[in-house]
Amino acid sequence: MAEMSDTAAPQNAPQQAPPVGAARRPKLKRKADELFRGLWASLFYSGRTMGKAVILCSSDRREGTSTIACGLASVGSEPAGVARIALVDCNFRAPRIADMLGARAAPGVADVVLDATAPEEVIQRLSPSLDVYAAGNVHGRMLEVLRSDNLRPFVENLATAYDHVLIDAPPVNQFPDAQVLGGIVKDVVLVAHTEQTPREAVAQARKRIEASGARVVGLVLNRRKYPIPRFLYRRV
Amino acid sequence: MADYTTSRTLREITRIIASRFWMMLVIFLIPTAAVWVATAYVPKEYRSEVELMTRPDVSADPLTEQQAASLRERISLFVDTQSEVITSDHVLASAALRLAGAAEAPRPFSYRALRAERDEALAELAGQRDEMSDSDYAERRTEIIADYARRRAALQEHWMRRLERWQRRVSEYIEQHPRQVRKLADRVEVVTPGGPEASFTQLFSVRVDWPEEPELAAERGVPADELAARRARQMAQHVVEAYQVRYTRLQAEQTESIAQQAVDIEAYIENREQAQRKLREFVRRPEVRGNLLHLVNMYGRQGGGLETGIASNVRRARQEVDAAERQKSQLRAQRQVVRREAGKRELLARWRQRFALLRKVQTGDPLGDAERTAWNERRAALVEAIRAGDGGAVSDVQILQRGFGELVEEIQDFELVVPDWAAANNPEIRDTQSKTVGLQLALDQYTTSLNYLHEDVLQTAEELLKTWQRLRAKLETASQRVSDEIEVLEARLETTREQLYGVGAGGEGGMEGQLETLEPLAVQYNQLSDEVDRAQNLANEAWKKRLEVQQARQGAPQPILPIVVDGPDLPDPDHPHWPILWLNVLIAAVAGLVLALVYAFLSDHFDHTIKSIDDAERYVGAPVLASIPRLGRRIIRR
Repeated sequence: MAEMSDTAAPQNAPQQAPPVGAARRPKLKRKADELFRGLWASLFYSGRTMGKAVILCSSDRREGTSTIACGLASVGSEPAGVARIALVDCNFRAPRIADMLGARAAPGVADVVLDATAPEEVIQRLSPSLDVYAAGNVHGRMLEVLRSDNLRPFVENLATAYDHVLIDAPPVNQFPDAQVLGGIVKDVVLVAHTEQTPREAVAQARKRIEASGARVVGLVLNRRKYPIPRFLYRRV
Repeated sequence: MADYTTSRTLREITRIIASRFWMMLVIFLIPTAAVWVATAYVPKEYRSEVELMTRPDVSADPLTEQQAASLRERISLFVDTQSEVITSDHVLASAALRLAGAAEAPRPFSYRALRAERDEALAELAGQRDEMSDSDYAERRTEIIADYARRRAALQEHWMRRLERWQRRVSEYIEQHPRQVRKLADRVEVVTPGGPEASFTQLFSVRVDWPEEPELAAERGVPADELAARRARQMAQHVVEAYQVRYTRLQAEQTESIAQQAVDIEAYIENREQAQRKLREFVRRPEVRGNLLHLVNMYGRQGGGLETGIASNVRRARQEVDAAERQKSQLRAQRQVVRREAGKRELLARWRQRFALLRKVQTGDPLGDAERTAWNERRAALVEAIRAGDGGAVSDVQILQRGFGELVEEIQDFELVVPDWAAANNPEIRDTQSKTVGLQLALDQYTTSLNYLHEDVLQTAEELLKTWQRLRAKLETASQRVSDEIEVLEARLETTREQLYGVGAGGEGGMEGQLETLEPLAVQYNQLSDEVDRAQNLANEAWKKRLEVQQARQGAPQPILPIVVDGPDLPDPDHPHWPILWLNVLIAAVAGLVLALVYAFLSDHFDHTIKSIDDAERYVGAPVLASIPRLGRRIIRR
């Protein structure tokens, strides 16, 4: 029954859930738009992923994972109707996505998993093809969320209900959350902050992810600097 | 921006530099600026240079090619030696005193003005040549030249006196300020255009590097740099002047020393000639003239060690005389011994008589008158002796036995001493002597066992007696021979003596006398000839030394004059010789650049952050899906 409702809810979601508050489909800067399209293409259209769901996490805090998740979700849901995309904020330590997109912070994933709230109730549809699941009312219950038996069915349902599911996870080197999620979703994208994250930390993150049974699909170098001036770059 | 690369290494380097550009710039600029500022505040040094040229004395004759070649060497040598003179304490101290404003510093000696005056006077005289007679002209000319020479000598003397005073002052200064003088040595430098390795150079420069003296400048109220430039030039001028004065002085000293040596050699030659003259005079003396050969040879030896001189002859003759005398005395002693033995002739003859008498009595032969009286006497004596013994009656036989017994015993005890030399030289004597020994032994045997009247005893005794007589006669002959020998020896001795001591009381013509007169002469002669030898040696040495000096003088740069070609230049106050701003800054900039590069590469090496796709793939092993540049704080428009 629960499964039924779970699978049904997303299919009905576009019709049922109206745009919430100020939240609407996120628009990217034009340059960013181009870049994220490229990233989207190399992630989903090149056969790297095994399933529909992808975890996005970093090795350390503040490396821009949530931003990249938002950006990817934005370009994935455009143009409307091509694919249905779910953006899930599983970063219970520091949920950022709702704030970034101007959506509600709660209810969200935590409510669905712990308090048996119906998934339909927490969906926030920002555009016809983009549904956002906020972190929800965690209140220090991160471990409970991760240990809950409801987490796996919830994520698996999302994967069947949407074309692509983007899951934002906390830094893998600091919290076990990503490893737990890695047991459910097998594709992980690592985000690294260029010129700030040590390569050892990234290698460590990869090891942890692989220990959980998941696979690192690829690396996204965020906030990359190009120190060589353009005029020189062309010559060397 | 494309991520495919044209040159990975170059791009990597460019990236390393570009990513740390500002830090590198700071690192580069700090030392550069520091050196810039430091250079600006360091006291500056100004260089003034005087160029000197050496050239042969103009009075020298035109040179052959060989001479020219040697002259080149000499000039090079000269330049080498001059740098020592210029940087000597004396010249430096002298220049320093001049710079300090010592008024009494002598100028380089020059009689150019005097010469010009003389030449003018001569020219004037030549102009008036037609108006005067030849002798007048010659006289005037000589006068002018003599006057010039006099004035020149006076000038030189005056100059030398002044120089002496000045040199004392300079020596004092050197003693009192040794450190300043040493500091000056660092500031003055002599350089040749080709460097020290150049094979030939005629030019050399004196360089003076003078530092700014801010205190002095403040005292005088002039800019420090201008003052330093001026003083550099002055110092160069003074060094050259002091050097020229010193050079003239050294030259004069050299000339003097050579002159001194020339005088010395005259003295040596004079000395030698005097010695030779003395020897000649001595030889000419009448008592010497004939005996010169003797004098020369007196103690001389000829080849093979044969002594031929009169002195050695005398010595030999003396030895001969001594030996002869010794031999003579020896022979005399021998003769004495033999004579003593030979003197026993009478005894032996008497014994023969007594023996014959007893024989006659024994055989009953008739006796002569004389014999009878003798026998009677003898008989009485024998009877007396027998009676004194035991008394009683005396028979004839008893008497005879007694008479023979006494005689035989006497003969038995008799001995003739034969010297060994006589026995050794004469076999007859030896045989006779051995015969006597045999007879004596036989007689001994007979007398112990037989009566004295026994015929064997008597015959043996007679035989022995005869043999004794023969031996004695032979000894006498030997004695005679010794006497002959002595005579011969004496004759020879006499001749030698005559040779030695001459004949007569005056000892005329004897070698000894000759020696006595010649010996002092010979001693004198030897002394004189030794003196000549010594004087000759000294003179030779002096000559040799003089030759050396002459050679040295030829090798020495005597006829070379150093003249100033390019006077001391006034350095530009805006361009100090040291420090050179642009050079220092350049060096600092290069050092800064190197430092900055070292910083960049080191920091990149120790920076382990992910910087590029390459890095990510190499160290993480995961493909890079995308690299997202900084796009500003918010990429999502709301």
